[in-house]
Amino acid sequence: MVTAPGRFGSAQPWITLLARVALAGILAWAAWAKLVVPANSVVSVKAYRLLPDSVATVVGYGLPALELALALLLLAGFASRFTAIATAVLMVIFIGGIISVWARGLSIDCGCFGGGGKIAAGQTQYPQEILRDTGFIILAAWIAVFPKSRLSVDAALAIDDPAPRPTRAAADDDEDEDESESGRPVDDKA
Amino acid sequence: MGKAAKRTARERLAEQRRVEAQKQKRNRTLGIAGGAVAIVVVIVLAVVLIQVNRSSSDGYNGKLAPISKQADGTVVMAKPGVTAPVLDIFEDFQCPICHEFEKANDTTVKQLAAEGKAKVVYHPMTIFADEGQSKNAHENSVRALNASMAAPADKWMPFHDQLYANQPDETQAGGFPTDQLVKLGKNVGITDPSFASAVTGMTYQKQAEANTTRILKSGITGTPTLKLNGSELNLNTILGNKDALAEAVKKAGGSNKS
Repeated sequence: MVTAPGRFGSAQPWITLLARVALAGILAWAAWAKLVVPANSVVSVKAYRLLPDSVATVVGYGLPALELALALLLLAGFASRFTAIATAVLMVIFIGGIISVWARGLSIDCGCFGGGGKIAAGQTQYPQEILRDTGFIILAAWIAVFPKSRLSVDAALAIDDPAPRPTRAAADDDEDEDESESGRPVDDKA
Repeated sequence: MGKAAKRTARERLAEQRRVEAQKQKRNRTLGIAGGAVAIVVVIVLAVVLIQVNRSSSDGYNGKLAPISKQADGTVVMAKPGVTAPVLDIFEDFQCPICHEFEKANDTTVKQLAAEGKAKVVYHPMTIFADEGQSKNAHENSVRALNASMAAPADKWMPFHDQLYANQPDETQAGGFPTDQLVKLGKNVGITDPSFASAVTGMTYQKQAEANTTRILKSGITGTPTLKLNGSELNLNTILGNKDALAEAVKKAGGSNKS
Protein backbone atom coordinates (compact mmCIF):
# COMPACT_ATOMS: atom_id res chain seq x y z
CA MET A 1 0.00 0.00 0.00
CA VAL A 2 1.08 3.53 -0.60
CA THR A 3 1.15 5.71 2.44
CA ALA A 4 0.71 9.30 1.53
CA PRO A 5 2.38 11.83 3.81
CA GLY A 6 1.84 15.58 4.10
CA ARG A 7 -0.43 17.64 1.94
CA PHE A 8 -0.88 14.84 -0.54
CA GLY A 9 -1.94 12.64 2.36
CA SER A 10 -4.74 14.96 3.34
CA ALA A 11 -5.85 15.65 -0.24
CA GLN A 12 -5.69 12.07 -1.48
CA PRO A 13 -8.87 10.74 0.26
CA TRP A 14 -10.80 13.60 -1.33
CA ILE A 15 -9.35 12.90 -4.77
CA THR A 16 -10.26 9.25 -4.39
CA LEU A 17 -13.78 10.30 -3.41
CA LEU A 18 -14.00 12.34 -6.62
CA ALA A 19 -12.64 9.42 -8.66
CA ARG A 20 -15.14 7.06 -7.05
CA VAL A 21 -18.11 9.31 -7.74
CA ALA A 22 -16.95 10.02 -11.31
CA LEU A 23 -16.39 6.35 -12.15
CA ALA A 24 -19.67 5.35 -10.48
CA GLY A 25 -21.47 8.02 -12.49
CA ILE A 26 -19.92 6.84 -15.76
CA LEU A 27 -20.76 3.19 -15.06
CA ALA A 28 -24.30 4.03 -13.94
CA TRP A 29 -24.87 6.12 -17.04
CA ALA A 30 -23.53 3.32 -19.27
CA ALA A 31 -25.71 0.78 -17.46
CA TRP A 32 -28.80 2.94 -17.56
CA ALA A 33 -28.57 3.61 -21.29
CA LYS A 34 -28.46 -0.14 -21.89
CA LEU A 35 -31.10 -1.05 -19.33
CA VAL A 36 -33.67 1.29 -20.84
CA VAL A 37 -33.68 -0.73 -24.05
CA PRO A 38 -32.44 -4.25 -23.25
CA ALA A 39 -33.05 -5.36 -26.83
CA ASN A 40 -30.55 -2.78 -28.09
CA SER A 41 -27.97 -4.00 -25.63
CA VAL A 42 -28.33 -7.58 -26.88
CA VAL A 43 -28.09 -6.43 -30.49
CA SER A 44 -24.96 -4.40 -29.82
CA VAL A 45 -23.26 -7.34 -28.09
CA LYS A 46 -24.11 -9.46 -31.12
CA ALA A 47 -22.65 -6.78 -33.39
CA TYR A 48 -19.19 -7.49 -31.95
CA ARG A 49 -19.50 -11.01 -33.36
CA LEU A 50 -17.25 -12.43 -30.67
CA LEU A 51 -19.77 -14.57 -28.84
CA PRO A 52 -22.26 -17.21 -29.93
CA ASP A 53 -25.82 -15.86 -30.09
CA SER A 54 -27.07 -17.42 -26.87
CA VAL A 55 -24.07 -16.20 -24.87
CA ALA A 56 -24.42 -12.76 -26.46
CA THR A 57 -28.00 -12.59 -25.22
CA VAL A 58 -26.92 -13.39 -21.66
CA VAL A 59 -24.12 -10.82 -21.82
CA GLY A 60 -26.51 -8.27 -23.33
CA TYR A 61 -28.70 -8.56 -20.28
CA GLY A 62 -25.98 -9.21 -17.70
CA LEU A 63 -23.42 -6.59 -18.68
CA PRO A 64 -25.48 -3.51 -17.84
CA ALA A 65 -26.53 -5.20 -14.61
CA LEU A 66 -22.87 -5.79 -13.73
CA GLU A 67 -22.03 -2.17 -14.54
CA LEU A 68 -24.85 -1.01 -12.32
CA ALA A 69 -23.68 -3.24 -9.45
CA LEU A 70 -20.11 -1.95 -9.72
CA ALA A 71 -21.41 1.63 -9.85
CA LEU A 72 -23.39 1.13 -6.64
CA LEU A 73 -20.38 -0.43 -4.85
CA LEU A 74 -18.13 2.43 -5.97
CA LEU A 75 -20.65 5.02 -4.89
CA ALA A 76 -21.01 3.39 -1.48
CA GLY A 77 -17.25 3.01 -1.29
CA PHE A 78 -17.44 -0.62 -0.24
CA ALA A 79 -14.43 -2.79 -1.09
CA SER A 80 -13.20 0.13 -3.21
CA ARG A 81 -9.91 -1.44 -4.19
CA PHE A 82 -11.53 -4.70 -5.24
CA THR A 83 -14.32 -2.91 -7.13
CA ALA A 84 -11.87 -0.58 -8.85
CA ILE A 85 -9.77 -3.52 -10.02
CA ALA A 86 -12.88 -5.31 -11.29
CA THR A 87 -13.91 -2.16 -13.17
CA ALA A 88 -10.45 -1.83 -14.71
CA VAL A 89 -10.56 -5.47 -15.83
CA LEU A 90 -13.98 -4.83 -17.41
CA MET A 91 -12.59 -1.81 -19.27
CA VAL A 92 -9.63 -3.86 -20.52
CA ILE A 93 -12.12 -6.42 -21.86
CA PHE A 94 -14.09 -3.61 -23.57
CA ILE A 95 -10.93 -2.25 -25.18
CA GLY A 96 -10.04 -5.77 -26.31
CA GLY A 97 -13.49 -6.08 -27.89
CA ILE A 98 -13.18 -2.77 -29.70
CA ILE A 99 -9.67 -3.58 -30.97
CA SER A 100 -10.90 -6.95 -32.17
CA VAL A 101 -13.79 -5.37 -34.06
CA TRP A 102 -11.48 -2.72 -35.49
CA ALA A 103 -8.94 -5.30 -36.61
CA ARG A 104 -11.64 -7.37 -38.30
CA GLY A 105 -12.85 -4.31 -40.18
CA LEU A 106 -16.41 -4.42 -38.82
CA SER A 107 -18.32 -1.16 -38.66
CA ILE A 108 -20.14 -0.89 -35.38
CA ASP A 109 -20.94 1.62 -32.69
CA CYS A 110 -19.39 0.30 -29.50
CA GLY A 111 -22.75 0.46 -27.74
CA CYS A 112 -20.88 1.60 -24.66
CA PHE A 113 -23.61 4.03 -23.67
CA GLY A 114 -26.61 2.41 -25.26
CA GLY A 115 -27.21 2.61 -28.97
CA GLY A 116 -24.80 0.27 -30.64
CA GLY A 117 -25.04 -2.13 -33.53
CA LYS A 118 -23.94 -1.78 -37.10
CA ILE A 119 -23.25 1.64 -38.51
CA ALA A 120 -21.84 3.03 -41.74
CA ALA A 121 -18.13 2.42 -42.29
CA GLY A 122 -17.25 6.12 -42.06
CA GLN A 123 -18.93 6.61 -38.71
CA THR A 124 -16.85 4.36 -36.47
CA GLN A 125 -14.98 6.03 -33.61
CA TYR A 126 -12.71 3.27 -32.40
CA PRO A 127 -9.70 5.41 -31.33
CA GLN A 128 -11.96 7.76 -29.35
CA GLU A 129 -13.74 4.82 -27.74
CA ILE A 130 -10.45 3.23 -26.72
CA LEU A 131 -9.08 6.53 -25.42
CA ARG A 132 -12.18 7.09 -23.37
CA ASP A 133 -12.01 3.63 -21.81
CA THR A 134 -8.32 4.21 -21.05
CA GLY A 135 -9.32 7.33 -19.16
CA PHE A 136 -11.72 5.23 -17.11
CA ILE A 137 -8.94 2.73 -16.39
CA ILE A 138 -6.78 5.56 -15.04
CA LEU A 139 -9.60 6.58 -12.70
CA ALA A 140 -10.00 2.97 -11.55
CA ALA A 141 -6.24 2.59 -11.11
CA TRP A 142 -6.12 5.66 -8.88
CA ILE A 143 -8.81 4.16 -6.65
CA ALA A 144 -7.03 0.80 -6.57
CA VAL A 145 -3.70 2.40 -5.59
CA PHE A 146 -5.21 4.91 -3.15
CA PRO A 147 -8.40 3.25 -1.88
CA LYS A 148 -8.52 5.42 1.22
CA SER A 149 -11.42 7.75 0.68
CA ARG A 150 -13.71 10.21 2.37
CA LEU A 151 -17.38 9.35 2.82
CA SER A 152 -17.03 5.65 2.17
CA VAL A 153 -18.26 2.46 3.79
CA ASP A 154 -14.63 1.33 3.79
CA ALA A 155 -13.66 4.30 5.94
CA ALA A 156 -16.60 3.75 8.27
CA LEU A 157 -15.58 0.10 8.74
CA ALA A 158 -11.86 0.93 8.72
CA ILE A 159 -11.43 -1.41 5.74
CA ASP A 160 -8.51 -1.01 3.35
CA ASP A 161 -7.06 1.90 5.27
CA PRO A 162 -3.59 2.52 3.95
CA ALA A 163 -2.83 5.34 6.40
CA PRO A 164 -0.41 4.55 9.24
CA ARG A 165 -3.30 3.98 11.55
CA PRO A 166 -2.76 0.92 13.72
CA THR A 167 -5.31 -1.85 13.62
CA ARG A 168 -6.17 -3.40 16.92
CA ALA A 169 -3.84 -6.34 16.38
CA ALA A 170 -0.97 -4.01 15.55
CA ALA A 171 -1.76 -1.93 18.62
CA ASP A 172 -1.42 -5.07 20.78
CA ASP A 173 2.05 -5.62 19.37
CA ASP A 174 2.98 -2.07 20.23
CA GLU A 175 1.92 -2.61 23.80
CA ASP A 176 4.07 -5.71 24.05
CA GLU A 177 7.10 -3.77 22.96
CA ASP A 178 6.39 -1.11 25.56
CA GLU A 179 6.09 -3.79 28.19
CA SER A 180 9.36 -5.43 27.37
CA GLU A 181 11.17 -2.12 27.22
CA SER A 182 9.90 -0.99 30.57
CA GLY A 183 10.11 -4.51 31.93
CA ARG A 184 13.80 -4.98 31.33
CA PRO A 185 15.07 -2.45 33.86
CA VAL A 186 12.71 -3.94 36.44
CA ASP A 187 14.22 -7.36 35.84
CA ASP A 188 17.71 -5.91 36.16
CA LYS A 189 16.96 -4.45 39.53
CA ALA A 190 15.55 -7.64 40.92
CA MET B 1 12.18 -18.14 34.85
CA GLY B 2 15.42 -16.73 33.42
CA LYS B 3 15.63 -13.50 31.52
CA ALA B 4 16.39 -15.19 28.22
CA ALA B 5 13.60 -17.70 28.60
CA LYS B 6 11.19 -14.98 29.48
CA ARG B 7 12.20 -12.98 26.47
CA THR B 8 11.83 -15.89 24.05
CA ALA B 9 8.44 -16.70 25.51
CA ARG B 10 7.46 -13.11 24.99
CA GLU B 11 8.88 -13.10 21.48
CA ARG B 12 7.05 -16.32 20.74
CA LEU B 13 3.84 -14.74 21.99
CA ALA B 14 4.46 -11.66 19.88
CA GLU B 15 5.19 -13.80 16.85
CA GLN B 16 2.03 -15.78 17.46
CA ARG B 17 0.05 -12.58 17.67
CA ARG B 18 1.63 -11.29 14.49
CA VAL B 19 0.67 -14.46 12.65
CA GLU B 20 -2.79 -14.26 14.15
CA ALA B 21 -3.10 -10.62 13.08
CA GLN B 22 -1.96 -11.45 9.55
CA LYS B 23 -4.46 -14.27 9.38
CA GLN B 24 -7.19 -11.97 10.61
CA LYS B 25 -6.26 -9.36 8.07
CA ARG B 26 -6.28 -11.92 5.28
CA ASN B 27 -9.65 -13.25 6.36
CA ARG B 28 -10.96 -9.73 6.52
CA THR B 29 -9.76 -8.96 3.01
CA LEU B 30 -11.28 -12.20 1.72
CA GLY B 31 -14.49 -11.44 3.56
CA ILE B 32 -14.72 -7.99 2.01
CA ALA B 33 -14.03 -9.30 -1.48
CA GLY B 34 -16.54 -12.11 -0.92
CA GLY B 35 -19.10 -9.62 0.33
CA ALA B 36 -18.56 -7.41 -2.70
CA VAL B 37 -18.90 -10.39 -5.06
CA ALA B 38 -22.09 -11.49 -3.30
CA ILE B 39 -23.58 -7.99 -3.63
CA VAL B 40 -22.67 -7.89 -7.31
CA VAL B 41 -24.22 -11.32 -7.97
CA VAL B 42 -27.46 -10.40 -6.21
CA ILE B 43 -27.80 -7.11 -8.09
CA VAL B 44 -26.99 -8.73 -11.45
CA LEU B 45 -29.53 -11.52 -10.97
CA ALA B 46 -32.25 -9.13 -9.81
CA VAL B 47 -31.69 -6.73 -12.72
CA VAL B 48 -31.53 -9.50 -15.33
CA LEU B 49 -34.78 -11.02 -14.05
CA ILE B 50 -36.52 -7.65 -14.20
CA GLN B 51 -35.17 -6.98 -17.70
CA VAL B 52 -36.17 -10.37 -19.11
CA ASN B 53 -39.68 -9.92 -17.70
CA ARG B 54 -39.96 -6.41 -19.03
CA SER B 55 -39.07 -7.22 -22.62
CA SER B 56 -41.33 -10.23 -23.07
CA SER B 57 -44.46 -9.62 -25.10
CA ASP B 58 -47.88 -11.17 -24.91
CA GLY B 59 -48.95 -11.49 -28.56
CA TYR B 60 -52.15 -10.23 -30.14
CA ASN B 61 -55.12 -12.56 -30.52
CA GLY B 62 -57.84 -10.10 -31.44
CA LYS B 63 -59.31 -9.40 -34.87
CA LEU B 64 -57.03 -7.54 -37.26
CA ALA B 65 -58.01 -4.43 -39.15
CA PRO B 66 -58.36 -5.06 -42.91
CA ILE B 67 -55.05 -5.33 -44.73
CA SER B 68 -54.44 -4.23 -48.30
CA LYS B 69 -51.32 -4.46 -50.46
CA GLN B 70 -50.48 -1.35 -52.45
CA ALA B 71 -48.87 -1.10 -55.85
CA ASP B 72 -45.75 0.56 -54.37
CA GLY B 73 -45.09 -2.45 -52.14
CA THR B 74 -46.45 -0.89 -48.96
CA VAL B 75 -49.04 -2.72 -46.91
CA VAL B 76 -51.86 -0.80 -45.26
CA MET B 77 -53.62 -2.01 -42.12
CA ALA B 78 -56.55 0.20 -41.20
CA LYS B 79 -60.24 0.14 -40.51
CA PRO B 80 -62.31 1.49 -43.41
CA GLY B 81 -62.47 5.28 -43.30
CA VAL B 82 -59.54 5.68 -40.91
CA THR B 83 -57.03 7.94 -42.64
CA ALA B 84 -55.22 9.50 -39.69
CA PRO B 85 -53.04 9.50 -37.77
CA VAL B 86 -50.70 7.59 -40.09
CA LEU B 87 -48.14 5.31 -38.51
CA ASP B 88 -45.42 4.39 -41.02
CA ILE B 89 -43.25 1.37 -40.18
CA PHE B 90 -40.12 0.86 -42.29
CA GLU B 91 -38.93 -2.68 -41.62
CA ASP B 92 -36.54 -5.37 -42.79
CA PHE B 93 -37.42 -8.99 -41.96
CA GLN B 94 -33.73 -9.74 -41.38
CA CYS B 95 -33.10 -6.76 -39.09
CA PRO B 96 -32.71 -7.82 -35.44
CA ILE B 97 -33.98 -4.57 -33.98
CA CYS B 98 -37.07 -4.80 -36.21
CA HIS B 99 -37.63 -8.16 -34.54
CA GLU B 100 -37.21 -6.52 -31.15
CA PHE B 101 -39.67 -3.83 -32.15
CA GLU B 102 -42.12 -6.54 -33.17
CA LYS B 103 -41.65 -8.34 -29.87
CA ALA B 104 -42.27 -5.18 -27.89
CA ASN B 105 -44.91 -3.39 -29.94
CA ASP B 106 -46.58 -5.86 -32.31
CA THR B 107 -49.64 -6.08 -30.05
CA THR B 108 -49.91 -2.30 -29.71
CA VAL B 109 -49.67 -1.72 -33.47
CA LYS B 110 -52.33 -4.31 -34.29
CA GLN B 111 -54.58 -3.01 -31.55
CA LEU B 112 -54.26 0.61 -32.67
CA ALA B 113 -55.29 -0.39 -36.18
CA ALA B 114 -58.09 -2.69 -35.03
CA GLU B 115 -59.56 -0.01 -32.78
CA GLY B 116 -59.46 2.55 -35.59
CA LYS B 117 -57.00 4.71 -33.72
CA ALA B 118 -54.43 4.75 -36.50
CA LYS B 119 -53.78 3.91 -40.12
CA VAL B 120 -50.74 1.66 -40.12
CA VAL B 121 -48.57 1.55 -43.23
CA TYR B 122 -45.81 -1.07 -43.45
CA HIS B 123 -42.88 -0.38 -45.76
CA PRO B 124 -40.99 -3.69 -46.05
CA MET B 125 -37.52 -3.19 -47.48
CA THR B 126 -33.93 -4.45 -47.48
CA ILE B 127 -31.72 -2.20 -45.37
CA PHE B 128 -28.61 -4.37 -45.60
CA ALA B 129 -26.28 -3.38 -48.42
CA ASP B 130 -25.31 -6.02 -50.95
CA GLU B 131 -21.62 -5.87 -50.04
CA GLY B 132 -18.96 -6.94 -47.57
CA GLN B 133 -20.08 -7.83 -44.06
CA SER B 134 -23.77 -7.46 -44.76
CA LYS B 135 -23.91 -9.54 -47.96
CA ASN B 136 -25.46 -12.56 -46.22
CA ALA B 137 -28.00 -10.39 -44.41
CA HIS B 138 -28.85 -8.69 -47.71
CA GLU B 139 -29.54 -11.97 -49.48
CA ASN B 140 -31.56 -13.37 -46.58
CA SER B 141 -33.59 -10.19 -46.47
CA VAL B 142 -34.32 -10.18 -50.20
CA ARG B 143 -35.58 -13.78 -50.08
CA ALA B 144 -37.89 -12.96 -47.17
CA LEU B 145 -39.09 -9.72 -48.79
CA ASN B 146 -39.83 -11.49 -52.07
CA ALA B 147 -41.85 -14.12 -50.18
CA SER B 148 -43.83 -11.49 -48.26
CA MET B 149 -44.75 -9.85 -51.55
CA ALA B 150 -46.01 -13.19 -52.80
CA ALA B 151 -48.27 -13.64 -49.77
CA PRO B 152 -51.94 -12.73 -50.28
CA ALA B 153 -53.19 -9.69 -48.36
CA ASP B 154 -55.36 -11.66 -45.94
CA LYS B 155 -52.41 -13.85 -44.97
CA TRP B 156 -49.77 -11.13 -45.11
CA MET B 157 -49.79 -10.32 -41.38
CA PRO B 158 -49.51 -13.89 -40.06
CA PHE B 159 -46.77 -14.53 -42.62
CA HIS B 160 -45.00 -11.34 -41.53
CA ASP B 161 -45.13 -12.61 -37.92
CA GLN B 162 -43.80 -16.01 -39.00
CA LEU B 163 -40.84 -14.33 -40.70
CA TYR B 164 -39.83 -12.53 -37.52
CA ALA B 165 -40.42 -15.59 -35.37
CA ASN B 166 -38.02 -17.52 -37.61
CA GLN B 167 -35.49 -14.76 -38.28
CA PRO B 168 -32.00 -16.21 -38.84
CA ASP B 169 -28.82 -14.65 -37.49
CA GLU B 170 -27.91 -11.71 -39.71
CA THR B 171 -24.49 -13.21 -40.40
CA GLN B 172 -25.90 -16.55 -41.52
CA ALA B 173 -25.25 -17.51 -45.13
CA GLY B 174 -28.36 -18.82 -46.86
CA GLY B 175 -30.75 -17.77 -44.10
CA PHE B 176 -34.47 -17.76 -44.98
CA PRO B 177 -33.98 -20.52 -47.61
CA THR B 178 -36.87 -20.59 -50.08
CA ASP B 179 -38.09 -24.05 -49.02
CA GLN B 180 -38.35 -22.78 -45.44
CA LEU B 181 -40.25 -19.72 -46.64
CA VAL B 182 -42.71 -21.94 -48.51
CA LYS B 183 -43.18 -23.98 -45.34
CA LEU B 184 -43.74 -20.84 -43.25
CA GLY B 185 -46.42 -19.86 -45.76
CA LYS B 186 -48.10 -23.24 -45.34
CA ASN B 187 -47.99 -22.75 -41.55
CA VAL B 188 -50.31 -19.78 -41.91
CA GLY B 189 -52.51 -21.34 -44.56
CA ILE B 190 -50.96 -20.14 -47.82
CA THR B 191 -51.38 -23.28 -49.92
CA ASP B 192 -51.72 -21.71 -53.36
CA PRO B 193 -48.97 -23.25 -55.54
CA SER B 194 -48.41 -19.85 -57.17
CA PHE B 195 -47.03 -18.65 -53.81
CA ALA B 196 -44.50 -21.49 -53.71
CA SER B 197 -43.40 -20.85 -57.28
CA ALA B 198 -43.10 -17.09 -56.69
CA VAL B 199 -40.98 -17.77 -53.60
CA THR B 200 -38.63 -20.24 -55.25
CA GLY B 201 -38.55 -18.32 -58.55
CA MET B 202 -37.87 -14.98 -56.77
CA THR B 203 -40.62 -13.45 -58.89
CA TYR B 204 -40.74 -10.17 -56.99
CA GLN B 205 -37.02 -9.61 -56.53
CA LYS B 206 -36.76 -6.76 -59.07
CA GLN B 207 -39.79 -5.03 -57.63
CA ALA B 208 -38.51 -5.53 -54.07
CA GLU B 209 -35.18 -3.94 -54.99
CA ALA B 210 -36.92 -1.04 -56.71
CA ASN B 211 -39.05 -0.45 -53.61
CA THR B 212 -35.96 -0.51 -51.42
CA THR B 213 -34.13 1.98 -53.65
CA ARG B 214 -37.11 4.32 -53.60
CA ILE B 215 -37.34 4.16 -49.78
CA LEU B 216 -33.59 4.72 -49.34
CA LYS B 217 -33.77 7.71 -51.70
CA SER B 218 -36.58 9.18 -49.58
CA GLY B 219 -34.08 9.51 -46.74
CA ILE B 220 -34.67 6.38 -44.65
CA THR B 221 -31.26 5.29 -43.34
CA GLY B 222 -32.13 2.52 -40.93
CA THR B 223 -34.73 0.01 -39.86
CA PRO B 224 -36.95 0.05 -38.02
CA THR B 225 -37.93 3.64 -38.70
CA LEU B 226 -41.24 4.77 -37.29
CA LYS B 227 -43.06 7.84 -38.50
CA LEU B 228 -46.19 9.28 -37.03
CA ASN B 229 -47.96 11.68 -39.39
CA GLY B 230 -44.67 12.04 -41.22
CA SER B 231 -42.40 12.88 -38.30
CA GLU B 232 -39.96 10.31 -37.04
CA LEU B 233 -40.50 8.76 -33.60
CA ASN B 234 -37.58 8.18 -31.25
CA LEU B 235 -36.96 4.45 -31.45
CA ASN B 236 -35.33 4.19 -28.03
CA THR B 237 -38.36 5.77 -26.40
CA ILE B 238 -40.68 3.38 -28.20
CA LEU B 239 -38.61 0.26 -27.48
CA GLY B 240 -38.01 1.28 -23.89
CA ASN B 241 -41.60 1.80 -22.87
CA LYS B 242 -44.47 -0.42 -23.90
CA ASP B 243 -46.99 2.40 -23.62
CA ALA B 244 -44.96 5.05 -25.47
CA LEU B 245 -46.26 4.18 -28.95
CA ALA B 246 -49.91 4.13 -27.93
CA GLU B 247 -49.46 7.42 -26.11
CA ALA B 248 -47.78 9.07 -29.08
CA VAL B 249 -50.57 7.91 -31.40
CA LYS B 250 -53.21 9.10 -28.95
CA LYS B 251 -51.59 12.52 -28.82
CA ALA B 252 -51.47 12.70 -32.63
CA GLY B 253 -54.99 11.35 -32.93
CA GLY B 254 -56.76 14.70 -32.69
CA SER B 255 -57.42 14.76 -36.40
CA ASN B 256 -58.90 11.28 -36.46
CA LYS B 257 -62.41 11.46 -37.88
CA SER B 258 -63.37 7.82 -37.55
